Amino acid sequence: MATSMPDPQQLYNALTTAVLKCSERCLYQAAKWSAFLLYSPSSPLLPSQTELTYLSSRAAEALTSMPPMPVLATTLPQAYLHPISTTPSEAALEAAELPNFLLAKSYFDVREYDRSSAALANCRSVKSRFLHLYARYIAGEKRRDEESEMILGPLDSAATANRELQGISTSLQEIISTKNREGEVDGEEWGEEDGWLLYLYGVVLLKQKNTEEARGALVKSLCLYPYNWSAWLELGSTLGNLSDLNSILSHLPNNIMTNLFLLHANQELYQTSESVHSQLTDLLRIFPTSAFLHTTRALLHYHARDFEEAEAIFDSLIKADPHRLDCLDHYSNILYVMERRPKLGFLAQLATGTDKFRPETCCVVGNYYSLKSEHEKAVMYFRRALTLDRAFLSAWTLMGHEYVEMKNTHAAIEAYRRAVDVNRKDYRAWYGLGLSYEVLEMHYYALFYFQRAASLRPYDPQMWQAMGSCFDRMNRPSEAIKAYKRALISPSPASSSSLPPSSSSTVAGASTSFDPSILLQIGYMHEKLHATKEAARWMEMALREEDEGGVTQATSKARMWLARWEFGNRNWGKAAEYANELCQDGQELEEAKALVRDLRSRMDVGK
Amino acid sequence: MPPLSASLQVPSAADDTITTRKRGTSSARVPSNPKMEEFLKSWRQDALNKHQYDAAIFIGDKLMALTGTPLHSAPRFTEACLPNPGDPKDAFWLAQVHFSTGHYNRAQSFLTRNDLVSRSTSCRYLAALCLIKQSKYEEALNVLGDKNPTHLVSSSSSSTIGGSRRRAAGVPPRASKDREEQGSNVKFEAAMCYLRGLVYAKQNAFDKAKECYKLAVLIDVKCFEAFDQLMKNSLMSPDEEWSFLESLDFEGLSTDGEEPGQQSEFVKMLYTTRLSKYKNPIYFNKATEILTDTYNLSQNADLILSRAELLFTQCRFKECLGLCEKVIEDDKYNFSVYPLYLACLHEINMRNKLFLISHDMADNYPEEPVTWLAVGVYYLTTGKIAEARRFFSKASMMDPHFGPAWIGFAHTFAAEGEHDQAISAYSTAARLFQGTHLPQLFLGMQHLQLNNITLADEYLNNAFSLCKSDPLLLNELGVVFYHKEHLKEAVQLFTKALEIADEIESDPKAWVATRANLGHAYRRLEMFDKALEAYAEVTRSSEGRDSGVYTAVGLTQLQLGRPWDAIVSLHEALAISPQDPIATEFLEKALIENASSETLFQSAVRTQDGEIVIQDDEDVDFALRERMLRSKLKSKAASGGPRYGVDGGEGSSRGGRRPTAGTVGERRRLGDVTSNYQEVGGENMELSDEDL
Repeated sequence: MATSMPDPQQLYNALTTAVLKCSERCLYQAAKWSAFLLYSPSSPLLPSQTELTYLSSRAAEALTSMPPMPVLATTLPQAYLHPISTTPSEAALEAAELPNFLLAKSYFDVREYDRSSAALANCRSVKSRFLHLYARYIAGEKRRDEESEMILGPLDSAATANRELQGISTSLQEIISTKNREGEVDGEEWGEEDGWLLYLYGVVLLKQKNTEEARGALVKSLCLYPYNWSAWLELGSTLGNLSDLNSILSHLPNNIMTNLFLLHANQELYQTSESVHSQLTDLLRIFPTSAFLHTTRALLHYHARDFEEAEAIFDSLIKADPHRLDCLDHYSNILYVMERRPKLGFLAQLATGTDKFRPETCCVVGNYYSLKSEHEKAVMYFRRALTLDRAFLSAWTLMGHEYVEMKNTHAAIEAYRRAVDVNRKDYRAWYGLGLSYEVLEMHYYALFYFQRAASLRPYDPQMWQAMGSCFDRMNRPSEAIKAYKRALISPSPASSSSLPPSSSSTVAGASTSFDPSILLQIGYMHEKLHATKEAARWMEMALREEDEGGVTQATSKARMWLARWEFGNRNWGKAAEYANELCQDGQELEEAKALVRDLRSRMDVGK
Repeated sequence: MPPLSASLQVPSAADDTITTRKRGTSSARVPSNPKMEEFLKSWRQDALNKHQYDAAIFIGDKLMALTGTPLHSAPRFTEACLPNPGDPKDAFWLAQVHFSTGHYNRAQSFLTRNDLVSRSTSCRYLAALCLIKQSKYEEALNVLGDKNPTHLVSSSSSSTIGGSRRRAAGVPPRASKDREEQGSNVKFEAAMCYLRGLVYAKQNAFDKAKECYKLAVLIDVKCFEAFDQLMKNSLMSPDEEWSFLESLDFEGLSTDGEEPGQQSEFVKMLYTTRLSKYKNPIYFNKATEILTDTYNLSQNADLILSRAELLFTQCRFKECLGLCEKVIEDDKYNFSVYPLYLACLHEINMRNKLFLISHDMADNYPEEPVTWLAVGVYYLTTGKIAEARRFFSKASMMDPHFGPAWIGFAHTFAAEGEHDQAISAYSTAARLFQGTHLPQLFLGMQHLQLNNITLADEYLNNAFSLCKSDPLLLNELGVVFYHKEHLKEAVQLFTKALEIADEIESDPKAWVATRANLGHAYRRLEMFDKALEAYAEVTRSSEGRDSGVYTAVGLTQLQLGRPWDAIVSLHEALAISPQDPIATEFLEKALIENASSETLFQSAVRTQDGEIVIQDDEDVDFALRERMLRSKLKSKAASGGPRYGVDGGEGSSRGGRRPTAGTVGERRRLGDVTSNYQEVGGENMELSDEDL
């Protein structure tokens, strides 16, 4: 999707207003995101000096006709004071309810949510209604968190729900249906303000697990007002796979925000193809210093297992903004995989210095302890992260990993489950669930989880390999072969780490080598099916891989198998040849030697 | 001075009667001192109005002495030497004062001693009332006479209905004095009818009591007490109530000469608001509207209460609660509103408020059964069943006819799964409340839980004959049909229940279970799409999340051959209640089915040009062959070189790297890699706990 450069002036205005509108409605994260996008010293969006003076003079002009105001306000755009609704009737209502709204907003800002909601109980403007219901929602969430008590405790389950949801959804349904009815009568269009209500409706529906409807509501909300990043994030969380994304593509508004969202969605769906990268490059031209875009690029590299690149980007991000904690948990994952213990320690110190009680910080520290094999401590930190934010995905998954290390399979399963409950797109958690269930010898369960992981990363041979071995254990070799074949055609991690594993079906120009261990497994499976000839064929293929990858354990095993097979077929010569090669390589030495001795005696007898 | 209370009004009417009679008889008798009489009479009345009973007794005693045989000098034998029994009017009034002070026995002895009972209906009424107050029901019945009430009906109806007929026929009306006298007589007959009903009710003869009450109202529409008894105890079914209302004679209420419409209309509307709310809500609404608009009764507690009742039957608890609170704001101890108010609080689960109310009531009105009902409801809401039962039983002991207490008592057993005891308690309630279907319904529900389908069917049908429009009842009947495998009928009933619930604009939240049942019935009928639709509605509107629905959705999807979806739904169910055996079983089934399904190896991938394609087995085989071909070509081209790993240096280095790459793939080795980790450099920064 090509990104055309929008009119900078317009975009600038839209984003400023978005920041104000979001923060007015207490959507703090969205406001922060938009503000960060807006802010960049060399951004082409910033109005030039001449424009600025023009703007301030216009503002001053506007103010001369009004009662005197503080001098400072003259340099600010009018919108800063109070972004007014575009529909006159709404604007009038908002003006009338301004004291209530301001009161409610200040209650909300000091976290008195119930009070905030109550202050707006009888207000009729859409903005007030939104804050009324949103405060109620947040109050319910807060209460739910309190009632859930300990992380993974007896009360911490889906059964402890936000009890306000039902009431909110009923009120919203009422508002929406009246709106629809009015729309039929006097043809009144949905206004921009209604977008906020629809956003909230989507959030509530999502909490009630009505994904389809939630998606509809969110898309509609975004068509009405596209600059609400929170809504985009929620929309992203409704997408389970690529086809979901595809199905909404045509309904999205034509806006720069859509491009940003698509980038984000592709990143979340582990799409690391060239087209995504070029899309990102396009967007970087508009927002050259956006940390969000740079982080996305780093994550794309991370998904493609290009850790060095990802690390470099994160390094520069930290240098530019050392107090930014967002996404540092991903960075710590990268450092963990790269086993950069000192650097991870540095990062942990840095994050702790900024804010000890941010889930990101806790994850970084947890990762550090994990790397030091202090798993109990690591779990403690992940738990702390979750106490701070129960929807913090990384912490759930990482905690699952820790429990696996501690051989506490059941706790691991629980943690992974919560992770996929928060985000269905976390393939690591699905994979971890599969592995844990394999430990418990519950293969059908394991299979399903591997299947989910594989559907998220169809080009990742590891997922398919896991599925293959699962089928093997379930004694279904023919399915196992199918799964292994899938793994085979996916580019193996060793050979393609530098290339983005773009597509797997038409691997034009990709490497031609196969992973011999998979070939070996396929051979074994054929043996199980009593198709020994076929098995031998695969074994030979595995041997051929030595041209590329040299002798490995897998190829030796294949050779051993072939030696025995030839032995069984009384091809003494061939068998001896394989066995001697084995002795030469120094793998499977004892067995090979025994075989050689046996062969010699037989060949002697034959003579 | 405060206006006369309602209880004084009837006797004051009697006052007139007796006065007229006295004047008719005594003028020829003893010479009297009318001025003195008047003076004393007004004094007595004044004292009575001020509740200064001692003064009233003192003066009344003197007055009686003045007008007739003095009491202290009227020994037993004077009774025999008629005609000098003293002035019945003054004796009556003295008795009335004694009654007010609570000396029922004394009042009654006055009345009997002077043989007033046989002479005046008003005195007979008072005597019976005294006896009832002393719980001497048999004697009261003797005084009242258990004679066939039809005699009273005919006489009274001829006097009222016949009266108007006569007027229509042009017959000259009787002397107004006579008519007045007869009218008040009739009123007392009606009141006595009511008392008879009360006695029968105390003796647990509810059918007889009901007949008496009905008769009382038929004789005199203004006998509200009887009407109230009928309505409060729901002795009649909704249909019966409406036809009864139609049969009442409101025409007779109009005063002579004036157009009959207004008063009768007014009273009729007032009565209408008291009827069962299950039927004719439109008519009810109209009545309330008119009463509110025309007669300025919008803030009247009784009207608000009846509106609240309507809302309660529609399960709109929050609104109902608002109305109840409005009443209580004006009149904090309006006991009639409390049963409804408490029920609302229980439904909305406002235990804190219940706590406060019950404490307040217990402090101020420990003698009221409603107080202990409140305490019981509080304990029921907090889940302390044993305590709740104790207080419900206390309330029902104080007033054995206090239905809400009985129902609460039964509920405590039902909540503990003690079905047999619950059934016996509900049966008591059913005996007390013949006109309402609720006890029958609850009985049916208990039997349903005991799996006595036939018995349940019987009770529910009984309830159905009383009320055809309760969605809850229809739901239970549907369940019975469901268990009897009459699925189509079940679907019909569930749909009907939901329709009615929708019609009366009740809160959809209350009917989540019905919708789920509808889903189950559809699923059993293999109408899966409809079932899923119903379930979706359930998940949308239910407040707390229920694992059962998700299990049902999973099962449906499994039956539809969509194991993947089924697994997702069943996971949802298990997330809510992790130990659910049914969900676990279905999940296993779904997983097994999934393992052999075709979709297993179909994955959506994105091609180079950004298109999304589904990869299936053939594609895979094709890709594999292609690659193999290429690798063969390559190996042929390179066949000149050594066949295998002689250049061990490179080979082993790659091989050595491979395991690392493998662990990298899952981000983290699940085995132990840390042991391979070598410290790089000496100046490793270690974090200590203190740092963090």
